[in-house]
Amino acid sequence: MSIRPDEVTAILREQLAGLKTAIDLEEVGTVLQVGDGVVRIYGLTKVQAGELIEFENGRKGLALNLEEDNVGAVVLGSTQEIKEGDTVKRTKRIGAINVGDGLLGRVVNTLGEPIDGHGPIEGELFEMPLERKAPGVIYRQPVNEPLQTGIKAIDAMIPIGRGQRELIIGDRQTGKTTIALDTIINQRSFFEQGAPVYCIYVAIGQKASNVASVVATLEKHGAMEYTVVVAATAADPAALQFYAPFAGATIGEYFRDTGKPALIIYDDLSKQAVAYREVSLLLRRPPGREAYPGDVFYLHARLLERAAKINNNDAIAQKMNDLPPSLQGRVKGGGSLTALPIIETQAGDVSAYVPTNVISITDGQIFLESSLFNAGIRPAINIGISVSRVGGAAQIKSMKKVAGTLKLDQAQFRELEAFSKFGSDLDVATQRTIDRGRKNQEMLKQAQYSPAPVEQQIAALYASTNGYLDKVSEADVKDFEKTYMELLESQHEDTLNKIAAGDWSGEITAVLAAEAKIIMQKYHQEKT
Amino acid sequence: MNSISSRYAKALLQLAVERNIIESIYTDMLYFDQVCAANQCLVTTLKSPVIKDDKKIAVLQAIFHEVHDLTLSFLAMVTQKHREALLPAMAQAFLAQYNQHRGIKTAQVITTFPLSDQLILQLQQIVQQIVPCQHVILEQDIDPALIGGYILRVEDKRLDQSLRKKLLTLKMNCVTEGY
Repeated sequence: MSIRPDEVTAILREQLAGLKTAIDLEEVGTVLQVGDGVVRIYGLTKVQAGELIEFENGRKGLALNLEEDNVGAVVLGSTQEIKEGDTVKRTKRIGAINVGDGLLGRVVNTLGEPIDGHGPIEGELFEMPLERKAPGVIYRQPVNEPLQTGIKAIDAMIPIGRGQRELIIGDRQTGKTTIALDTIINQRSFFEQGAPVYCIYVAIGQKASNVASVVATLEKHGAMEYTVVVAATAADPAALQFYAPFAGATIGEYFRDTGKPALIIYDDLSKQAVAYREVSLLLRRPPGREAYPGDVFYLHARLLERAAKINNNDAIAQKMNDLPPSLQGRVKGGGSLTALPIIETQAGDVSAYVPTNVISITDGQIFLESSLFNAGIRPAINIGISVSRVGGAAQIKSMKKVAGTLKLDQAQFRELEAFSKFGSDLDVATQRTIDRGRKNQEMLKQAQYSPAPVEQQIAALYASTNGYLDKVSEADVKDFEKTYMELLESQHEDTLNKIAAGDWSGEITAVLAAEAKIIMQKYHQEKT
Repeated sequence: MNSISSRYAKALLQLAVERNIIESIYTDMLYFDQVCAANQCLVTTLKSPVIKDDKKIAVLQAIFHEVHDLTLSFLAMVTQKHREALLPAMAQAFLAQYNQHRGIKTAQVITTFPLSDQLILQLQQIVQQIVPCQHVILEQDIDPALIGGYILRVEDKRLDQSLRKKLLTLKMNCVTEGY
C-alpha cells in the first residue's frame, strides 16, 4: 500500500484548520510541592472547589483545598512527571466524564476511559459531572416497584425496591460480592424481556485479578451486555479510588434521568473511605474519629442520595435540579437508580465509624455473618438484624401473602433454637416451630450464581411455610424443591405465570398445595 | 508567617503615606531587600535566637545608617518585638503593597530575543488591557525554546503566544483524535 503525499497534506491541513488561534488568556499557578498524589499550587487565585486543572504534561487534577495562599489539589493519575515549579492551568470545568449507552459491556476507569482493550467507547456520549446534587423532593416518588435479586432470603424477607439504597454489610469472606453479582445476573431475564435493569459494578481498591474474575463471571452468565464495570484497583492513586463511586453514580444517573431503571453496586465503600482519608490527611485536613476527616459522612451521604426513584411525570422530571446541559431534551420520568453499597466490617464490628454512618444513611441493611457462612447457611444472612425499611411497599402481592410472617417466624426460630440447646424437654408447639424453622432455613439456602425467578421463590416458600415439608427430612428439602419445581414448570406453567404477575387466589394455592402434597407423600413413603 | 509580615508592612506604608515620605521609605526598603538578597549572613544573623536584640539593633544601625529615620526606628521596633527574622519578608510585602498603592503591576515576558523599546511599549499596553493599572514594569527573560512568539505573565494570568505552545496543541490534537 502506498501513501499519497497529498492525502497526508490534506489531513495535516485539516488538523491545522481546527487549531485555535484566538488570544486566550489562561489562569495559571505554579507547583510549590508535589508528592503522594497531592500537589500544592501557588496562584490560581480564582479556581473553584472541585475544578479540573491541567498540568504542563497534560495530566489532569482536581482542586480540593482552597487556602489563603495556596491551592491543594489531587492529581488524577501519576505524579511522577510533575515537578516543582511547573505551571498549572485552570480549565474552568468541573470534573466530568463522558457517559452513554456505549459504556454497556465495558470496563472503564474513574475517568470513563476504557481499560478492557476493546477500543474506544462507541455511540453518542454525554458529558456529565462527577459531583452532582441529588434530585430534590418534588422530583422523586416513593419506591413502588420491586428490584428482584433472585435470592429467596432477600426477596422474601428483606425486599428491595427500585430507587432504594440497601447496604450489604459483613466480614470478609461472607459472600457480600456474591449477593451483588447474583442480583446483577438475575437481571438477565428482564434484559431478555426487553425491559432491562442496567447494572453498574464499581470496584474500589480491589485486586485487579478480582475485578477480572468478576468480569469473567458476569460474561459467563451473559450479564455483561447490560452491565458497566467501573474499576479503580488497589494500584490506582487514592484520588481515583475515592472518585470511582462518583463516576459510577454519574453513569447510573444517565440511565436514571433518561427514564430507565439502573442498579449500582459500590464494592466497597470502606475502602473508598480509606482512600478518602489518605487524600484528606495528605491535604492536611484535620483528622477526626478513626482519623477520618469530618466530612466522611457527607461523602457517603451525598453519594447515596443520588440513588432515587424519579417521578413518573415527564414534565416534572424535565425540571429536575442540576440537570447537565448535555442531557437537555432527553430527560424522561420514571427512571430509578438503586444502590447496593457494600461495607466490610472487621470481626463483625458494626459500631466502627464508617459502618454506623452508612447504616444510618441507607434504607436498610443485609447483614452477613461468618458463623452462619461456616455453618453452611448460604447466603449467610442474619435475618434478625437485617431490615429493609422501604422495600415492603414494592413487594408483589403474591410474595407478600406467602412471606408475610416468614421473617418473624425465622427470627423466633433462631431464638428458640439457641434456647433448645440447653435441654431436650420441649413442648410440642416449640418443637414444631423449630422443625418448621429448620425446613424454612433449608429452603432459603441457595447456591451462588443461581438466582431464582420470583414465581419459583413464591411456590417454594408456599410449600415450606404451609407445612408441606413437615414430613420431609431436612436433608431431602433441596431434593424436594427440585422435584417440585420441575413438576410445576412442566405441568403448571400458566399458574407460575399468574404468580409472577402478582395474582394470588384460591385456585393458585390449590394447585401448589396439591402438587406439594403428592411429592411430600412420596418422600414420606420412602422414609417409612 | 505571611500574614504577620504583611501587617507590619501595611502599618509602615500607612505611616509613610501620612507623613508624605513614601518615596524615601520605598527606596530604603528596596535597598534593604537588595542587601538581604546579596548577604545571606545578614538574614542568618537576624534569624538567630542566640544573638541578643541590642546586638542586632546595633548591627542594623551600623549597616543602614544612611536611611530615613522612620525606617531605622521601624527596624529597631520590629527587633524589639522579636520579629526580626521576618524583616526580609516584611520588606518584600512592603514592596508589593507599595506597587498596589501606586497602581504598578509587574509582568514577566519571555521571548526568544531582546525586546526593542517599541515592543516593550506594546506589551505594556497589552498588560494594561489584561489588568487595569497605571504603570507596568516588564521583567524580561529570554528562552530560545519558545521558537517564536512570546509568553506574558501578570499575576496569575498567562498569555501564551509562543510557537512552541501552538505546535504542542497541534501535536495533542493529532494524538488524541486518533484515539
